[in-house]
Parts: sequence; structure tokens; C-alpha cells
Amino acid sequence: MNDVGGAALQFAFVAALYAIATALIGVRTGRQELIRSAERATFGVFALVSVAMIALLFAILTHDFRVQYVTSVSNLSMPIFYLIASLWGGQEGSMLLWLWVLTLYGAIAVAQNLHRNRELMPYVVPTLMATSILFLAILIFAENPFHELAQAPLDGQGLNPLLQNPLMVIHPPNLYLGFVGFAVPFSFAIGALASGRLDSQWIRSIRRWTLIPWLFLTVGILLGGQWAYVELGWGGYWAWDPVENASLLPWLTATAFLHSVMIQEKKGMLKVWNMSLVILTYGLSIFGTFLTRSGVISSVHAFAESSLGVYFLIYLAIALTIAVALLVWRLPELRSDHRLESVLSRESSFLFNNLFFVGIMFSVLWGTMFPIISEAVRGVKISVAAPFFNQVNVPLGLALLLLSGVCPLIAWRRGSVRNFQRNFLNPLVVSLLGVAVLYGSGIRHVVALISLSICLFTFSTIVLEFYRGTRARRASTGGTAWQAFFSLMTRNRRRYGGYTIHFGVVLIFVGITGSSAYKIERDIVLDPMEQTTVGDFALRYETLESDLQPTHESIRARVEVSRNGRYVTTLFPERRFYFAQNQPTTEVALRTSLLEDLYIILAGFEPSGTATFKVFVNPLMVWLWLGGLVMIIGTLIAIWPERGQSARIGAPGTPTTETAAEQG
Amino acid sequence: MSKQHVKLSIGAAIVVASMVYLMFSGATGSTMYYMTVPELHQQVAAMQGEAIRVSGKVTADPIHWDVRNLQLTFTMGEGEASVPVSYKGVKPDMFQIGADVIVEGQIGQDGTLIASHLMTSCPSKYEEEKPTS
Repeated sequence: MNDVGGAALQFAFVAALYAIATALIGVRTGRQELIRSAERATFGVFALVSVAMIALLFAILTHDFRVQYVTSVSNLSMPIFYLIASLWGGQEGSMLLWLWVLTLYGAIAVAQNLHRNRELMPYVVPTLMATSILFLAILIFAENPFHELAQAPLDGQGLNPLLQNPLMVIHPPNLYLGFVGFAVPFSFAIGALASGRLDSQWIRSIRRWTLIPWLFLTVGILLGGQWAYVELGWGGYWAWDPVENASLLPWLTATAFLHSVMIQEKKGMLKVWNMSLVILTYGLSIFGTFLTRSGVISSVHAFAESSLGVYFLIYLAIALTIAVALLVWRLPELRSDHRLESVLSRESSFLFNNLFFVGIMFSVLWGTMFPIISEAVRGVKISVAAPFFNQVNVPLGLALLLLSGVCPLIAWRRGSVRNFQRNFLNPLVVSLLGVAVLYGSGIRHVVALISLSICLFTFSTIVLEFYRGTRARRASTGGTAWQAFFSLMTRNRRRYGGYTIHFGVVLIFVGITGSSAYKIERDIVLDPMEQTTVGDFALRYETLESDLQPTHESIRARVEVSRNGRYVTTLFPERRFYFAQNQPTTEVALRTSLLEDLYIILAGFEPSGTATFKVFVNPLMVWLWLGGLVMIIGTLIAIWPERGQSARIGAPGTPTTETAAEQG
Repeated sequence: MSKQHVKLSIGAAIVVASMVYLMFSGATGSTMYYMTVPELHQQVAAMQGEAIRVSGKVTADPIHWDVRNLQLTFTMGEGEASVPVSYKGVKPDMFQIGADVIVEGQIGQDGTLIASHLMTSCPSKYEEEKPTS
């Protein structure tokens, strides 16, 4: 089976080369059958990589410890759930998963376009295959997942216990589905540039192809944060670590693109800008993979320090050179159809939105690369820490949030003072009243007050939009308010899906504000039956309990939690010792409520029973995760195909659902 | 250029300028010298009082873990060079002899690195050492 897997990768390499060559020859000579053959080869590459995936899974499930990879990520005692997860629990396996997702996306994209976008496909196929070749080359020449040991050990090392968490099982595939997915919009952009079909057709074809990876990346980032929160035991969810930043960079440019593409679809403006954002997003997703794999920037995440970096850098340089050259070549054909008419227009608010997203991206990139930049310029490695990222990104993030409230209320083309009064008065009043209430209830943290007031403002503009839309819908169709509301949602999925996503973002800001401005962090040492208070909570440490499991030994403390004299719950912060990996782990005890999270870890204990705890109270924490959930729902609403959508896709300039709704 | 374009450009310029300002002021406020243990070893005196971020490994020297006071003292090193570290806080799960650690803090009077942050390399998806056959 291992030989089959290795051979499948080599055949896939050849097939991918074949696809590139035949597609390009086909388009030069005008021979359609060659292009068809190249497209079939992309299916072949997908099938071959799938064979390699199955072969590796087979090796893991059958405990074939001759395979070095299997030895390093699995062992005999692991349950099947984590055995499957160990398929992407190590460097080689995760690269294989990356590649498999890429070839899957490629095959789907080709299958969708067997009768559409025929001018673009001869370039789309080679672009997708070139990315596959990068990963195939790495898997064949540098990090072979099927590499066999001279002597097979009796048992493997097993997956790191910290990774044995359901969140960690689904987090990497999500990130890959996101990262890899941007290869499809990129290949269509290259297709449009190379073929000269620069109308908005390609943009429409990739609309979902940007939203879907964006959704996966969003989910992946949130899951990563949640895993860090519940598993790592430091009470936080985001540390501005290079690996985290690497996932955020393409997300930021992709989000900018999702917004600015609307301007191109409706107004035919920003064509060069959108093209650049697609190229940049792809570049950053490759760059992010490079950052996490090359060990060029040291991070808390253990990177395998390997020679992989060279592969990525060479590939990135070639891909970006070609893309930028094509873009410059087509520059004269990418002129705007319209010009901007007013500073106070929705168009310009989109421009500022993009400016902020790209600005945040640059600041994160700058901070992440700072050690390398400073070493090159001044000869000393200087790193910047979390305060830098917070100082820069808190104002920018708040400005963006404000913009997301303002933007939908400004008219297209030209806003007016009356338009402003009509739309902004109520949200402004709500937001000011809210701040007054918060101030009255004793909140004096300035940034928190600003942030929450913007949250309220944006929230009320979203409510206003839904309310007005529903009212207009009801006036024209009758029925109950609920019927009108649902019909509004189903008829303008993209628009109201977008507002729903914004609502999720508001909730996330609420969560971040509460948990960072009012976080309580305490170290406490308690004897058995001793009591202490943290925030509003009274904690009574009762006793230590121990338990012996086949894979680990567990010691947990029994802590009774009460508030204002009333019993709340009993928590069991725990320490485990895993025998196979010879490693202790901390199991967080967490009590979540809508108001705050109580988060307790058992830092250590003495033979006498005296125990040391680290206790966090993270206010409003759960809103962050709920906001993520709302974002997912909103994205699904936006992605879902609209009924009779094909009829609505007309030439640019035909009234779209959005303008129709505005007239209503 | 129309009047609207001028206005828009001014607005954009203000936004960009404030972002650049934020980036540079933020960078000067929170920088740390980033070095390995041997690099630190050569300039311990010069680094006194500076914010530093040091990467290295936990050496085999005795580790003291005072549970009651959450006080962790150990030696980190790389090659021949080493530096004593004192950290107040919870001992991370992955902390053990030979673990890769990143320490942020300052060099104290006696040459001890007083750590405000101690991070062990997170296991992440990537295995650290390959089994040798």
C-alpha cells in the first residue's frame, strides 16, 4: 500500500505537468481536444492524490509502524477518531491534505465549467495544476509521507495529547479548505488576464468560490482561537503569534475583496484593485503556508525547521511575477466604466472599507515580519509584541465596525444631508443612550465605552435595515410581518446574509471588548476546604481526587463555586499525565454564561493537598463564539443559490435585487 | 481631477497617514530585542534593563518549581551558552528538560533573566523531532 501511495503521487506529478502542457498547447493551436484532455487530467490528478490519501489512512489504521509518519503521529492505544485525525496531525500528512483539498477544488471547478468560461479554462487549469505541482514536489522530494524506517518500532509515539481535542481535529482541515480555496479565484483571475476576457463574467463565476473558502477560513480561525482557549490554559484566544497572523492575512484581503467586488459588479469600477486583491490573497495564503512551515520566524507553535521554505519562496516569486506581469499588460483594458460622484456615497465608503482592511493586513504583516525587516535594516533582530498589534488594530478595527454600520445607510452615487438625518438619527440616539446607561452602571474604560457604542450603533443600523425592508415587503405583498421578513431574506440572500454577517461581527466585538477590558486574572493558593473570592465568585477548594485511566493518570481538584451566597456549580480543574507521550496536560474547568466565563486551571499541588490555581473571569466571552456562529449562518444565507438566479444575471447595469430593494 | 476626487484623496491620505503613524508609534513602543541564548551571552551587560525576547532550550540543570508561590527557576541554553531564568506564573504543560522555550523579560542585577512571559513551543500540528532509525 505504501508503494502504491508513493507511486500515486509521482503519477499525479506527471499528470499535472501533462495538464499544464496540453492546456497551453491547446490554446495556442486552437485544438479543443487538447484542452479537454488537460481537463480530464485534472480529474486524474485528483483521483491519484485521493489514492495517496487512502494509502496513508490505511497505513495509519493498520498501525504500519514501518512508515515513519505513522510512527510519529499515532500509536496502538489511540481511538479511531484521533487515528483519522492523525492523517493531518503531522507535517507530511497535513501537506497531503492541503494538496488533496486543492485537487478536489480544482476538479470541481473544472467540472462546473465544462460548458462555461471556455476562454478562461485553458489558463485556469495550468494555474491550478502549478499550485498542485508545488505540493507534489514537496511531498515527493522533501517530505515523503510514505518514507519507511529501516526497522519498525513496536508502537508509535502517538498524537500529542494537546491535539487530542475535537476542535483540533476539525480546525486544520477548515484552515486548509480556506487557504487552498483561494487558488480557484486566483486561477480565474489569471484566466481572465491571460485570455483578455476581462468583463465581469469571471467575477460572477468566482463569487461563491471566494465566499466558500472565506467561510472555511473564518471557521478555521475561530476554531483555532477556541482550541487555544479551552486547551492551552492561558485564558486567552489570540496572541498575535506568527502562525495566527498567517491565517489572518489572506482573510483580511479576501474580506476586502468580498466587499469591493460588489462595486465592480454594480458599477464596473475598481477592476485593477479587485484583480490585485485576488492575487494578493492567493499570495498571502501561500506565504502563510510558507511562514508556518519554514521556521523562518520563530513562533510558539513548533515549526518543523525544514528546507521547505525554499520551495515556497521560489514558487511564490514565479507565481507573483507572472500574475503582476499579466496585470500590468492588461492595465489599459481594466479602466473603470464609471467615476466616483461623491465622497458621501456608498462607493466611497466601500473604498474606505478596503483601505482599512488592507491597512490592517499591512500592519499585521509588518509586525509579523518585523524581526526579519529589522535584522536586514539594522542588523539586530527586534520583535514586536502583542501591544503593537493591539495599538494599531484596535482603532482600525473599530473604524471598520463603524463603517459597516454607516455603509448600508449611505445611498449609492451620492448621499445627502437629509438622507443622513433620516438614516442616522435613530442609531445615533440608541448608541448614545446605551453609552449613558453603561456609564451609569459604572463602566469607565474609555476604549470599552467607545467600542460598545459603535457596536450599538452598527447593531441598530442593521436592525433598521431589516425593519425597513420587512415593512416595504409587507406593504407590497401583504401577509404577516414574519412572512414578509422571510420573503425579504430569501429574495435578497446576498444582501441580508451580509447584514447577518455584520451582526455576527458586532457580537464578536462585544465579546472581545468584554473579555479584554474587564478580564480578571488571579493566582491563588488554597489549602483543602479553604475559600477565596475572585470577582463576584466565591471559590471553595474542597479536595483533590485522582483517577487512573489506561492512557493517563488524572488528578483533579473539586472546587465549589457560589455567588452572593448561592451555590452556582462545582468545577473540576484537572491535570493529566499521559504515559505514552510522557507529558502532563492541563484540563481547564470552564463555566460559561452569557455574562462571563469562569475559567480555572490547576497549576500545581503539594503532597499536603495544598493546590495552586490560576483563575480567570472573562466577561462576555461567549458572545465571541456566538458571533462566529452568526457569521457562519449569515455566510450560508449569502451562499445559498437564489431562486431564478440565472434569470437575474444580466448584462451589467440591469437593476439588481439590491437596487430594486432600495427603490422599495 | 474633480472636486470630489480631491476630497476623496484628502480623506484617503488622512486615513493612510494615521495608519502609518499608528504602525510606527506602535512599533517603537513595544519592541523587544530578539535573540538566542548565545547572542544574549555575548552582551548580557549591554542588555541590562532592555526588553528582550530570548529563545533557547531548557537545560538539564535543576528546575525549581515552587507551587505555592508559582515561582519557576531554571536554566535555558543553547550550545555552550546558558542563562538562569526566573519566572513567576504557571508552569506550561510542555515545559520539561530539552523543551524549546521563548522567554520575554529583562536581565536583572545578578544576570538572571526575569521573565514576564514564558512560552513553550506549542505542539501544534508539526512534530518536533523525527524518530531516528
